[in-house]
Amino acid sequence: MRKISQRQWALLLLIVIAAVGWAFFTYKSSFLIYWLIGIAIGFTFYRSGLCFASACSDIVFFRDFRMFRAALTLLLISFVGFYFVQLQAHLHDKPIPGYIFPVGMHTAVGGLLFGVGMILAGGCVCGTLQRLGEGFLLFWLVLFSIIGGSILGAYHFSWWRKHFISLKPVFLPDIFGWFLGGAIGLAVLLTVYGLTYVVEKRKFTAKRGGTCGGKETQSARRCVSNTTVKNPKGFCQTKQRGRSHSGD
Amino acid sequence: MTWLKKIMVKLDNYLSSSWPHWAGAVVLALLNITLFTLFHRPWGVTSTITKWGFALWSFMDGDVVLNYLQQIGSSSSFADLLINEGTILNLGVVTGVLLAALAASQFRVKRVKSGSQVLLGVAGGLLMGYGARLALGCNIGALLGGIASQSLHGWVFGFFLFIGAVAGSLLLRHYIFKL
Repeated sequence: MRKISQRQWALLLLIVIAAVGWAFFTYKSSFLIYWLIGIAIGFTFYRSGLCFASACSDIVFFRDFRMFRAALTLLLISFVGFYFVQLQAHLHDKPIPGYIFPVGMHTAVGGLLFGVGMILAGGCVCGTLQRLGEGFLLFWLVLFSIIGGSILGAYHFSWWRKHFISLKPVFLPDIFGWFLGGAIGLAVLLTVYGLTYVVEKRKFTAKRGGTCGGKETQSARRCVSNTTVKNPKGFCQTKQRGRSHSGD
Repeated sequence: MTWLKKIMVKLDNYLSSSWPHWAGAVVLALLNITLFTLFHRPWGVTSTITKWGFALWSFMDGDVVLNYLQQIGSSSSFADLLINEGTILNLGVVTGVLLAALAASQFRVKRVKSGSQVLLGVAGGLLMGYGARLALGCNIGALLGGIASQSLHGWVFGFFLFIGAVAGSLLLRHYIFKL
């Protein structure tokens, strides 16, 4: 008997997806939409190789800002889309939707820890899910570590709350107004976007006298999937042609 | 049947090619906005993963779990710790990646290579889990969801996340070249 090819497995998986989707639909119709959107997100992640961890580490390792700019693009478009959905709710006197959570010391500490953690593990939480799907056994371990860390964090949460969390979410349009709030956010994101070009150019003219090789084939720099074989530590890394690891 | 063959070849090329990063970013942003428009709920990952942890843990110590859920104002009960929208979204992401990898004939099981990989993975996972609970979200929930929702905590998280990531990268580079 012939071995089943990966394409055939993919077709089989499509049938499973449809069946599971149907089961979700009969249970609760909104579940089907979540299921389809989740699959679309996963598909897009794999196809584009987008990775938040390498968005940051590419800058340090390779002075490469492309992934960082892609992450910014994601932020920018979401920002604009969310703005109008929120504005719509505001105009109809409905509660403003969105993740508007308390800000304070805990946010800063959490951000720092998360930033270090995603580089060490080689992918953020979403990246972990992505690499599970790609077949990395290591990331099962990472997933369970994340679960462990989350429980620990939830366990300590009351301590943090008592000492640091004012429990006051800050919604920016409440301070600046709807127009200025949106404009400031957009301006900051665009400034950072522009800044990446400035820094990129300066670093490269100082060090190498050239710019980052504009058009490179995508497959050579896929987030992890193609390169981990040569990547002893397994962190989220993009490999680039003609540029050594110890570049600077 | 030549047209069918042509389509198959096109599809074959398409499924094994990859998109530029920015195109992926655009599609993800549109999906995120769709989710927000339909359900008024931004895309999130970590709070669901915490709930999975709770589901495991609730066999041992239910009070702490309930205490935390009350503190963050969640209306979740034990019953929907496992079967909820977030779980389906996360499972969908894994399935979607698997589908894309299979369709590109690029799927293969990658074994764990070394002890240091395990060490880094566990350390990174614990830090991420803890950090995400403190900040009430991860890259998706706190950074993307927070900034897009115009909440100050998203900006603060993003700033410190970047500092942490750069510090972590420098640390890792140092560590790699030392060994």
